[in-house]
Amino acid sequence: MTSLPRSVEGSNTEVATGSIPGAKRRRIPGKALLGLIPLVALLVWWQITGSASSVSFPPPSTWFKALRQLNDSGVLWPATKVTLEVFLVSLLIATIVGFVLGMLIGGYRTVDRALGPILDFFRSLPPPAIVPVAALILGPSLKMNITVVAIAIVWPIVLNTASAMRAVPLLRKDVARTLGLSRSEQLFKVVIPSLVPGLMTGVRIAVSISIVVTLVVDILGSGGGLGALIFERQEQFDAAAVWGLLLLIGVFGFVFNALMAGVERRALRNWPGAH
Amino acid sequence: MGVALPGPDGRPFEILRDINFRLEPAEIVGIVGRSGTGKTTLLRVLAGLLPATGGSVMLLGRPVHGPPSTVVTVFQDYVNALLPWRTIARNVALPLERRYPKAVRKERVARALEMVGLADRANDHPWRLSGGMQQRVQIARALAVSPHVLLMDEPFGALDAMTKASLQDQLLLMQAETRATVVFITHDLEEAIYLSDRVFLIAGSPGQLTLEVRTDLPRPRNQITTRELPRYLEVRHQLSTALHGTSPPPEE
Amino acid sequence: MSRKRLIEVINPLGWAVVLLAIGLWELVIQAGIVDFSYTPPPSEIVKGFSDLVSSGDMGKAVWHTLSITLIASAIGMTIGILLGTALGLVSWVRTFTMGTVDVFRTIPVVALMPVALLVWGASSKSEIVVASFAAVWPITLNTSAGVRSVHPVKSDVARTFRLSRLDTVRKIVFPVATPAILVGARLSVVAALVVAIVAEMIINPAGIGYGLVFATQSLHPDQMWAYAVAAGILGYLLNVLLVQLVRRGGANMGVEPR
Repeated sequence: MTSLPRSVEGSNTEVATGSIPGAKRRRIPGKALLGLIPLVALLVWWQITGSASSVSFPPPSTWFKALRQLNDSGVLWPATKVTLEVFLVSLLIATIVGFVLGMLIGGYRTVDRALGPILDFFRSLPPPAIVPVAALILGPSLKMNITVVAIAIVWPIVLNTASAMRAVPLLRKDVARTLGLSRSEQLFKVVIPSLVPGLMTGVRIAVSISIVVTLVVDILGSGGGLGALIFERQEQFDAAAVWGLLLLIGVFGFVFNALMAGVERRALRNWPGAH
Repeated sequence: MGVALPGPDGRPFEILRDINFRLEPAEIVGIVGRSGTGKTTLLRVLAGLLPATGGSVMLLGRPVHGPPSTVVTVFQDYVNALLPWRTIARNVALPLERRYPKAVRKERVARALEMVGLADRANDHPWRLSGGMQQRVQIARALAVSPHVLLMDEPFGALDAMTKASLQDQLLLMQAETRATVVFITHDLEEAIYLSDRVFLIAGSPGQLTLEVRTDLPRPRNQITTRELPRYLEVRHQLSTALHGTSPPPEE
Repeated sequence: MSRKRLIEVINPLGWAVVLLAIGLWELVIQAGIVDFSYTPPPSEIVKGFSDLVSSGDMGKAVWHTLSITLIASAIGMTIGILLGTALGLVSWVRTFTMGTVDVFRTIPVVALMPVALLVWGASSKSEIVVASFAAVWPITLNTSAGVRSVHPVKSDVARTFRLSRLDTVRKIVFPVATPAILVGARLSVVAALVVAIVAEMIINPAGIGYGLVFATQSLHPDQMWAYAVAAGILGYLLNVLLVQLVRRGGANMGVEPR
């Protein structure tokens, strides 16, 4: 984990990355782990001073017990599977649709202008607000949950792709023409690779939004995933399970963000560092 | 081999007017003039990127509609002209991918890179290289196609003096070997005279071909001795006076 | 303004498309060509909207959501700026805290809501807590980045003039960091709004979020849409307002608005 800060997104707008000129990136894992000391200290203190019978704050050891119980009763894995499925499939759909749409919007000024106000509206609409509406129209089912999440998270991908499309240097397109490349070559060998950094940014933002939206859809919709499970446990006043599931979800969030960062790094390894 | 005959051109307002010339095969022509007179536009018309209004560009007796396959352009902005996600070798191979099978491509790329002296950097990415090297890559890419006509827009403009001199001479060597017709734009009068067989001066607004000078300098050229020849000084005097006698085009 | 510029700013084509879409929607439903029980025609939505306005429900809901958003933003920004400054200025604080910050900011806020529900019940307090939590991180990170971006030359300037530590912070660090902070503030407010609405949907029965869900469950699709539109407009207006503020604030620093 690098110590390079990134600002978090609660909406669809583009990320303001905190790029720091001259900052040293520490890749020594030991150093990064030092930052976790407050958290570890908190958990340890909690464990020592908490009591298992606490209504709201059972100590960490109880969380694992609760999770194991959930697993044993065969509830945990199906819920996890559902959540994962919704998350991944919707991300895939949103990436493909968002990319194509973004290319059209960025590439054709008339399309851009025509869809302008609509896009502006949808991009400042809080994604969760779309959920009840879409869920109602499309009806409760797994496929619909996927569609709803996809609709909610497609915007950063569309916008970042469109903006990358607009930013393709005109010169590069001229070069493609003067080198005698065919139309499809121009598109696939010159234009589309130019869009990769922008696409990566958009997908990264979409991933961070998607974690939240997937859970919301779960809770408000037909349930069956981790979101519904955690609320069900809350209704049963099973605080240990609530914290345990929170931990689980947090770990998933962390893992996906890290994976995404890794994918981004890999995809951009041939690009100059500025990207 | 390259024959060109454009006419007046421009969009709602005329950028160029009454441009008429023919190019001889294997000729090197330099185009000079103040900034804003339309030199780049002229080059783009020759490249087939821009249509001429009234008149046309003819290549080997046929009019040009869109970039012809035997004409290659080298741009001043090498950063955006090269693809950063491809290695040098793959950048040079780009125009060949549709035309030749893999084995032929490899050979052409290798030869082109050798001609510009970058064979050892083939697997690096452009952004690792210096400005001069990147420009050489662009030239290598142009050469790999073996074009009949090579168009260059201020190819050495962004480089330091030493790199410039070295690339100029490399260009002359390559042209002598490939017999390509070269048309280049430069704001460096000395460079124009040093490299060319003929120098065109574009001036006025709309830009017109106001002066055409044959350099009549012997080949091979030499950075030091050629520039000391009386004929060189004569041509330079003629062009300088003409250039400074022109007024700058109006502010946009 | 010239005619061309006017067209560009107002974008008649875009609005024409919007009107066209709305008109088409109305026609299609009214003509019975398509029957989505849950997509009432725009005319009904407008009616639903005005019903809610006249009954005072919409006003109350908007007021609730807006005030929670602002309170949570204020809390989040206060904490965030302090934390961000500490992180940016003092390197050992950063070393020993950054990992924890990273963990906290990647916790999906939605997963915290059941916890809030446990501790504070279904109340506005829960809502404020989670919204503030969400609002803290964007501003923290951006403040930290902004503070750290002070070019070493400027610190040297401060040292040669023998500015006290506090003065350095006030006169050199903050002006440089301000644009980043403003951008972070904008992101924070937006985050607070989103989280507030979600919280209203699932933990606190008040505000726009709740209105949305309630209308859905009581089978009033027109009102549901009205609330959704209200959420969109609120988000849009806040965004526009904040962008303007950021522009004004950043303008003096010689920095681009976005």
